[in-house]
Amino acid sequence: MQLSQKDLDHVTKLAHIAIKPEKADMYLSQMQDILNYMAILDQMPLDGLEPSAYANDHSHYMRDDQVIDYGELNLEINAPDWENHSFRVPQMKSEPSA
Amino acid sequence: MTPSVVQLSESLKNGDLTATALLEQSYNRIDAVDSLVNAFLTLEKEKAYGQAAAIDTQLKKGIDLPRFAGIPIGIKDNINIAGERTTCSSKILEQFVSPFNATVIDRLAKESVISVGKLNLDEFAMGSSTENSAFKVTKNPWDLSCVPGGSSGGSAAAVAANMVPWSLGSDTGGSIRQPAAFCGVVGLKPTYGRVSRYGLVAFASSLDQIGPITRYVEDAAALLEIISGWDSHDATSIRRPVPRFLEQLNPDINGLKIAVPSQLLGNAISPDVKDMVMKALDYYASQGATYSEVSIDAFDASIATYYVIAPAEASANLSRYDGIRFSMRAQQVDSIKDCFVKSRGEGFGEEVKRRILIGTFVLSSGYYDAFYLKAQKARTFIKQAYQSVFESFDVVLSPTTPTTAFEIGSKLADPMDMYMSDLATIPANMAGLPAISHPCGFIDGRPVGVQLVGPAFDEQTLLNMAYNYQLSHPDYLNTPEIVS
Repeated sequence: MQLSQKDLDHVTKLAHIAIKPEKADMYLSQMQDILNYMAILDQMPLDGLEPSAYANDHSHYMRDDQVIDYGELNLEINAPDWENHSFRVPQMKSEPSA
Repeated sequence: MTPSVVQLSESLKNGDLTATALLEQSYNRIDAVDSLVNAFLTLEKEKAYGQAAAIDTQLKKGIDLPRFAGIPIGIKDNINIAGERTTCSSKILEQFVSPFNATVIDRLAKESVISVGKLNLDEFAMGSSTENSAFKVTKNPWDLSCVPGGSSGGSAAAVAANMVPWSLGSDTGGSIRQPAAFCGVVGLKPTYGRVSRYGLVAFASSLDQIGPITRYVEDAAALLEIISGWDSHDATSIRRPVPRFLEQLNPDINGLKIAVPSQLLGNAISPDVKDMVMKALDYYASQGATYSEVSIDAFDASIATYYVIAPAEASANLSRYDGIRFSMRAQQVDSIKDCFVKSRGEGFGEEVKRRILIGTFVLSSGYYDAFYLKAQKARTFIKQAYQSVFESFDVVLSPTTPTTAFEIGSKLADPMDMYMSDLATIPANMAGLPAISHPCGFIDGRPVGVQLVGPAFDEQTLLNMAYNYQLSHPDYLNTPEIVS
């Protein structure tokens, strides 16, 4: 398949990642090379095989549904912006129109 | 010759050495050579010396301590240590201070092993050269113009340069074994589920495993034993007893059957590496093992499978870095969405962005079946291929890497070329199998590694084989002379 600038714009939007305009051609070309290489999967005899989400077939342990106190979580230390025991975030909505 | 951890622990117990003196040796070596190698990102001298002094006091009083009390260790900087920075070599986590210990860190602490500091890696463990670190490029101690491999390049270089006797790395597609091979040390990726991933910053959760990087095979056995075991904090850890890997180390390999996949001896492998690995194979045959070449067609799918599954999981795991909770936010943002987009754009490096974009693409509407579902079926294909081989053989042997360490900068412009460095290591991750790389010689002064892959939970056979090899090849235990 052939990737286009429109595909790159769509995927950067989905991933919430800004890329510099001067790097767009580089990403597009490298992603194209990677996707071209993946065509090798079309040559594999995969019909009838079940997909594996994990490498092993062990059932995964499920924890009890209970609250555990993990102590100090360093939220204040690590937050880029912290105020009144809360993460301070940029404006979420535009100002209501008059 | 540099002593092993097992020997150092005996010297500590019988009073020939103190934990403080041993730690001082480690920091002195770091001070002497790390300005050239660039293995460490952070050092925790004050905390480490405090721990060493406490251990020495207890030893003087005759208090019985765990076997490896007082041995220094280096930790890859994607493993959380409470109160210390865990950067993953990324700008986006540059100031992140971990609130908790990874389970492996708790287990090391229980043994009174002392962490000297955190080691460099490719950003979020994505890479094969450690050039993707946002902070520094680690150099190969055997040849400073070359990469140490990656992503655990700091962990392998620190052991090779004798800054620490052992270290922890993590392996998603070869990130312990490939740098171990490039740096001439031992690297072991345990069976998926053998070691808890709790506190390892997630890259591709169905593939990631923490494991030891050491100079000596017996030290790899000891460290694996310390960090292994079920953990309620990791739903994918497996509830089964941990073998006494060190005690059970046995160089007798008579009768072992070795499979050699033709796919990993073809044109992609440089002829001189292939020759070196064939010599190792002949050595194993001289010790009573037998070998046959086998064809494992599924290996042809492994890199493509990996570069669908790993980026897909990474794109989900790294969605948490949003400029709100973890340390870094872009300066000029005018909405919350702008905050996400710009913080991630500025905080992630090129390789991480590339993988997030690929992962997002293969999971997006219209492409899921064509890429992600197909790759998951290919993973089943690879698993079944190994199962079939292990019906007739005990071990799969191959080169760890197609070439020796390459020059810094030589593969950065071509990601596919870089991805091919993991040609031989990725299949074991796809099937969740244990695999070890041990040194088997040098080409033009650069180390070569041989890789052994075993059935799930049979790390012991791999350790036994590597131990046998080490006993007959002590010259591969040397430390490089590091000169600028």
